[in-house]
Amino acid sequence: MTDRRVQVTVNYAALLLMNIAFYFVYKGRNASHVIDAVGLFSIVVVGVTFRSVHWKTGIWKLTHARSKDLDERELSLTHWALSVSYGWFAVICLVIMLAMSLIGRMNICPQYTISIPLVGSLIYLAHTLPGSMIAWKGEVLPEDTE
Amino acid sequence: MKARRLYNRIATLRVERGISRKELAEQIGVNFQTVGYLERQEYNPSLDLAFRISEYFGFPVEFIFSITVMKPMSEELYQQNSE
Repeated sequence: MTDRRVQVTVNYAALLLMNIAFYFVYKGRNASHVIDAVGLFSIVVVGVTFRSVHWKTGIWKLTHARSKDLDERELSLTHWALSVSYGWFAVICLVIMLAMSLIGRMNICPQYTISIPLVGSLIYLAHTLPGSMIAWKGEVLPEDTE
Repeated sequence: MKARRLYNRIATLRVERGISRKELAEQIGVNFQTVGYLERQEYNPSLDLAFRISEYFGFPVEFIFSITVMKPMSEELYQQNSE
């Protein structure tokens, strides 16, 4: 596994950990300062890995650029990344909806609704998934200068 | 459909002209990273881009691009001279 793939994995693992931690904070039963700390630490890890995977490499700019500012290779790359990540994002949303439905039905935490961290994570995911696909594939090398 | 690999002489021609990837990229209207991908033969250009590259270097498209591995230019030149 390349260094960038490890960073992408850590980024999303930290995002998942943050949601689990804030779920327990919301649930209240197991809430403690340790869980708060885990949640906040996860946010820091997400921020640090986001900077190295998406920001410093220019992938964020690439996936958020207007079509007219990209050349044909970049257009084909972003088109591929957007189409693949669209499928993944749809599956992730459906899994979350199923999980929410099961949480309610099984009376695990009936008052639990879609929380702000979860919505924030989904917005983050929608914006970073195409870039993560490109990073995972190993495209866009910032050192590829002269 | 999996695209065939296209071989090219872009790197040789660029070095011969003494220009950087950035300068070539500006001339043919692409990002400098795309020139790197073209030179490493990791990306097949569109017909339009291939013609832009051939116009810039002043050689026919078939001299710059090929579907078979290209001989070094020095070898071709030696063969032509010996014939």
